[in-house]
Amino acid sequence: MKWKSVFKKQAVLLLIVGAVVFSPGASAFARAGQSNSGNPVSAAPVKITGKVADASGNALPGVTVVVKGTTTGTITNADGAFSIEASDSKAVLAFSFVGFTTIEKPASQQVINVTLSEDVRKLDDVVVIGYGSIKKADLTGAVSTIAPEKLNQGANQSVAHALQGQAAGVTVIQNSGEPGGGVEIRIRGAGSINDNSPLYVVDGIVGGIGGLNPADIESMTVLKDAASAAIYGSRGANGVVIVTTKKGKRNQKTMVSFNTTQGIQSVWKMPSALDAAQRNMIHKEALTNDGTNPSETIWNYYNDPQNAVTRTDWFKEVLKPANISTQDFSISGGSDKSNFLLSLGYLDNKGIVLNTYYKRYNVRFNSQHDIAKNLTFGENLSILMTESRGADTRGGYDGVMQAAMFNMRNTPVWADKANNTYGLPSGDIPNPVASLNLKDNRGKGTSISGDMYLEYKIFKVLTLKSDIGYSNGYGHGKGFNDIAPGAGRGLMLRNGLGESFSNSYSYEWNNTLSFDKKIDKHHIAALAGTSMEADHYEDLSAGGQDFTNSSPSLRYLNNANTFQNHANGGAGDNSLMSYFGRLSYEFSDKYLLAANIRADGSSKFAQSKRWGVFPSVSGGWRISKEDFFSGLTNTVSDLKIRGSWGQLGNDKIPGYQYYSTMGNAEPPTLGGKEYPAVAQSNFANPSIQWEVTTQSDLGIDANFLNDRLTVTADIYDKETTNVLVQVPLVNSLGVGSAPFRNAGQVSNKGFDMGVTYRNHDHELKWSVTANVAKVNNKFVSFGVAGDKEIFSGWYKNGNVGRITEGEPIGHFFVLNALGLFKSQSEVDSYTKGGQKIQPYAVAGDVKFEDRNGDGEISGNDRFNAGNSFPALTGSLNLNAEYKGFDFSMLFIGSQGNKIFNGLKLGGEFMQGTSYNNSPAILNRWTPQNPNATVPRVTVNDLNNNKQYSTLYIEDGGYARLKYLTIGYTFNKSMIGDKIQKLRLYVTAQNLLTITKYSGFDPEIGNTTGAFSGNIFGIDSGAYPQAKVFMLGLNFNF
Amino acid sequence: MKKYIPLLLLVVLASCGKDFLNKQPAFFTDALFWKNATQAETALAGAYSPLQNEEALGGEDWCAFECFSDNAYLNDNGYGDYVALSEFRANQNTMTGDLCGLAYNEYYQSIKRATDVLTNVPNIKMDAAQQKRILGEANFILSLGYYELAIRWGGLPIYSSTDPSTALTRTTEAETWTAIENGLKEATTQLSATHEEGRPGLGAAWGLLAKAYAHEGKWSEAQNAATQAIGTGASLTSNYADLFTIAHENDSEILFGLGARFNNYPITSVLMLPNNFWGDLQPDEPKGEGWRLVSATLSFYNSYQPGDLRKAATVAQRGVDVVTYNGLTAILQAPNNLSPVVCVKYNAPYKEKYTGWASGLNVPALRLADILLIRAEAIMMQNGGGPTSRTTGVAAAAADLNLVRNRAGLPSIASPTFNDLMYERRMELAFEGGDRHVDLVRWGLAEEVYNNLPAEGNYKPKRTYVQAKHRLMPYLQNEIDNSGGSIKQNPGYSGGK
Repeated sequence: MKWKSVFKKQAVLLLIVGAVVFSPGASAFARAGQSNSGNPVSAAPVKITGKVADASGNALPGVTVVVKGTTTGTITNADGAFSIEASDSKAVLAFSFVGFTTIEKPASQQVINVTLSEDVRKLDDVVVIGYGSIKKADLTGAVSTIAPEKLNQGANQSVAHALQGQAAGVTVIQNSGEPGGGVEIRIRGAGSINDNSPLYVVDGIVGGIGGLNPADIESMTVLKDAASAAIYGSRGANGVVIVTTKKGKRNQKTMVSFNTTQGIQSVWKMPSALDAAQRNMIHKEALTNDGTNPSETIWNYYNDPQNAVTRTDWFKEVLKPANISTQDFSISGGSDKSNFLLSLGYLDNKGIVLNTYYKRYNVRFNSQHDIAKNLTFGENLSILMTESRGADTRGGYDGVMQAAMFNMRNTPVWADKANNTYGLPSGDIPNPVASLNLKDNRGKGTSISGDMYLEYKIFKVLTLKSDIGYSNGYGHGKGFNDIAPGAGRGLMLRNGLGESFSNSYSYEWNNTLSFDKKIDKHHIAALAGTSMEADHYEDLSAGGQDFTNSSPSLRYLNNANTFQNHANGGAGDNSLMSYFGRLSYEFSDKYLLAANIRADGSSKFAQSKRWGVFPSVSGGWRISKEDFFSGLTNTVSDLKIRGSWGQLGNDKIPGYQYYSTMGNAEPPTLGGKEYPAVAQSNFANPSIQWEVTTQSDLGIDANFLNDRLTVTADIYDKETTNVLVQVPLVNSLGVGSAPFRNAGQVSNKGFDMGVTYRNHDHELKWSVTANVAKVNNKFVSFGVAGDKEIFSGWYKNGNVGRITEGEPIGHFFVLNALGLFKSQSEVDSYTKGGQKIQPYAVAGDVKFEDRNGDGEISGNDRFNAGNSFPALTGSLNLNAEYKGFDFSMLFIGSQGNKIFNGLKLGGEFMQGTSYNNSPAILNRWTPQNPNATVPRVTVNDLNNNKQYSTLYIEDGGYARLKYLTIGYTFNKSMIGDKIQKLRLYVTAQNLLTITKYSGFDPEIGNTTGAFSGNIFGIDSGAYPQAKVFMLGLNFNF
Repeated sequence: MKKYIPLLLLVVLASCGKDFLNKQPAFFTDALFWKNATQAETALAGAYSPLQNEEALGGEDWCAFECFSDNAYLNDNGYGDYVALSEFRANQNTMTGDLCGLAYNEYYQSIKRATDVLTNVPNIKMDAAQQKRILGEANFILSLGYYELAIRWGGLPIYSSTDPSTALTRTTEAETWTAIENGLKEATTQLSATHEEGRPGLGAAWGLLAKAYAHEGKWSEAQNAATQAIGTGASLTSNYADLFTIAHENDSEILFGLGARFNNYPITSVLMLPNNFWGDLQPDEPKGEGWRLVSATLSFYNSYQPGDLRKAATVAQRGVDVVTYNGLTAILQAPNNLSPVVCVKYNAPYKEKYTGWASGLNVPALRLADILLIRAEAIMMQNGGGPTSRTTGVAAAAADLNLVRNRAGLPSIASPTFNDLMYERRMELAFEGGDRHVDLVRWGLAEEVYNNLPAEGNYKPKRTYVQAKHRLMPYLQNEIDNSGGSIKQNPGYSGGK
């Protein structure tokens, strides 16, 4: 109801805006246009026809032909032909086409045939920016663009995965190798301790990029600095990723394209654990070290010869080679008045962990039509379906990677397969094969999204665009935990089903009025717009237990016998209302100036705190266009310096924080029955607002050697204030979650640089691109007296990360291990004031640093043991083409980041006798191995060797050959004219990984728990990355 | 005129924006709550809710607190920090997410919610008797929470619904005990003798008040409060072992029992359940399900007087005692128990069949036998008996003490000594939330008892207890940190004075 009236109001408004605000300007420009069209008194008009072709003689459809200095123009048809009327023979015709050098010809002949050459400089490339586009040469902000071919180098599950290594200053960290698993994207570091993910805009509509098919992408732009992102106001602080999908082209014959890949994937590094005999040896040594009485029954286990037999390599049971395939089909084309594209995509990724998979189905359709003079209608429609079955690879007890590591290898997978009885694990872990078979967690998602727009050229210089987007998504999660004898903790007693449904929808309505005019050497462009967005979310979940028959066909709540958990359901709403504008001015192709402003009102904040204004300014100077530079252009073919300043917001916090809420509590048992319970769930903060990032950027774009070498480099200084800190409350307040407060301050300073060298002059064409980015992140201040630390990064028994003033946000916070005590005398001499600092230590135990000098080892001795976020990230992309062969490879890497190797707890430090250990424990300290780095084995561990210390922290730097592709494109003589393109290729993904890290995989994203987004690299045995070999075929006709 | 139009536009936009940007939450805000009796009852239920969680009453910490005494130790469960605390080796308390750290949170959640009930329910127009009962229960829950925290940590922050700053400072021990007294005194004016299962009645309020007075050494008040509790009509269940069965979990002896229902927390039974009863697996025995969090020491097992029926109801020795579990009666094996003695007090629900983590057995949080012994103690203390004169007989204390003794199958003592009382309290209340340790500490006898005990295996090493330091646990480091240092450490510990 509300929407209707709001829409109505905005529509009326829009008309008023169009009609009134810009009408004086518009008429002025119309007059200017008249005077510019020259004096019509003298010569007679001439009609000119001709054809436009590329260097190899192929007709070029869609080339813009204009009579210079007038508004007369046309575009070439499918045969490259054009026909245009000029005022007289002195007129000049300009031929321009994206990717080609613009050519001007005098209208002195009636037939003019033109050959356009490909523009290697790409400076006329148009870059998509917020609510518009701009010539690359005119950019004054820090923007990275990614070409579609870069996004299709491997079997990427998502566009986000494909972004890895493609843009300087954009750090993409995969959370795990899980099929359908997510990635973390950070643009120029983390400006907040809350959500640091960027804003995604797809074809002008705000949304996610998780389900986009990489094959559908035409271009991707990353807005990195404040000047570029300020047009997105309160949501631009983490940077903006703008995605444009492929469209059909005007005057293009219908083209069908088919791409298929088939691949096989396997774990890039097979982990390992002790076999049964090794385990016996280590555990017996630990029992001996602990002085366990020989009469204790525990020895019987190790003395039983059956228990020395290795029966199972759990990792091999859990990690299996699997297939991955993609199929992409598209059909596109266009006449002189319309264009369309339909694409279908299918990804089938059977994960390398037993029983896991991810499937994605994409349908995308768009078209654009000139429905009247100066009036264009268009729409985008996208349907996405996903299906997945996941596995818990991270859980402390039931994560399958941990279970594979810590299960005894004398335990068989099956005790009695005929009777469905698994080999019973010891301790709290499940049999991992049982866990993967019995825990059937599936997710399904369906979303339909799209937008439709009208674009009206009011006068030649003014364009009004109104774009309405809508998306509706359904999610369905279904987890069935089956039971079987011997399966281990949680898998033997009760089966149960948990099921959830969610629905979300969002609307967005954008209206823009843009103006673009060149008057002599002045080029003015302006944009004014309004935007309204709203989203709504609802979910429903319920569970039931004790199915008497667990066949998949009966896994519905109707068939459950017990309903232990309540049904849950809730909803949430957000809305945003905005006004924005941009003004840019260019003089003589040399001096560039731009300013942006956006005002946002957000429902997330209380009425009096709702609106914010976000401005930016930027400027550029193309030095190479100056006269004094002319002598240098042979070496430096283009040189621009640019600078920007602006303010942006980050509103990524949960809504309703300005309310104090009452929520359901676990129902107690009163009167022998369940009794519903309610309690306050959070404290209110009525003054909450967005975070504000102020960013300055200084950049340079330089081309050398006839544009063969291009360099783009930026330095920036990002200060985020009003950071929403949710400093943990004392628990004596009796409420779990603390309210957010706008108090903190975060600083990010860094540089990013991209360098490309290309040589396309010879038959062997090649190019190399290197991206490198460095960021120094610092949490400057909480801004609140008293609060000094937030602990983050929960792993098993404690937090291993901390947020504190003056240190990087995502650093590890553990004890400093100084090595091992080599002798009792070393223990005895490690004293403070005559007292032993580690009174329970013996030779072979860990020596911890008493950093605060209080004579004892405690949590107060923890320190910053390194940053989990890389100091330096880089990538290297090589491309070459020779006689139909193509070759490309991408290296990515990071340096300066640390990893907390959680599996050392239990792996190298014993966690009781119920669990197996990692092979690293074989190199433990013994009197015969006094230089070991792994401490002596002990179960009692009186010295607490296993407490979190630098022994868990490892160098997480790595270099990885992400993709290597070799392809061959058949030439026309082999395939005939009917087929436009036939290319066969092989790709290897994650072929080579160079790292010092000893765990499963150095690419580790975020973890779970409070403030988890702030710390990466806590290795709890995440789903490992796969090495993939693929064969692919591109086919266009 | 034209130049006003943009201005007009802004006005129109601002007004439509106002509606568009107002989103009502799909859940209760506090402005919509505290309006009727049903909301008052659900808010009171909210105060009970945290008590049943994994750590608090009947939970892991409640069970593990027994390990501070000489009765028990913590089996190998990866809780090294708690073992260090219970062995008086720790200088700091970093148990943020387990055992005492979580129990602290759970009790405080309960305290906060009970306080909110006491603050808001008086303003609700509702049936006066119902309102009174709700306030009485809230006063009891609040005081129980403070009691459990005070016996561990001493002086506490006292929560206020209107002034959050009180949560940032610990009151003195005396102030905390006064707050406990006050809450319970008020509860005695609000509760009635009859009460629903899982809720406190008058007996619970007087009973806990008696224990609080005993802790403070206010003996005549303790005696009087105990007499009031005993006078509410409760009587001892005739068979001690029955107290820990589902059939008798609501007997009148249980002054306050935390309610449990099948398949739901609390999970006391499985926490205490021994693991691998029969050694080699029997068919269908669900190994790996018994957590055996806490087990008994051999010295405790050997301390029972001959004929004490409580022994078989409480402990069993490997290779010696016959136990019934999961439908089988046989000699206990439990090979992976560190000591030869397991606690079998909460096993009754699993005798016929193992039924999962949550057997539905109520937690006997406060029993009449405890209060009888408190009255006996109070009488002794006022008549020449006590920790410093442990062999002095006090005949006046005989009646209460012998009620408890006789039920355990032991003969009456005409003039019981403090030593006799110590024995009764230890055996009667073993594995019911750590009374043995709390008693020894308040009697000033922990140093003597603990420090003279030789090491037993490597699961119960020789300990060094220092009364001035170890009578309280080190305060939780994260509370100290998160308060910005305004919450102070206990004396003797790292950072404490």
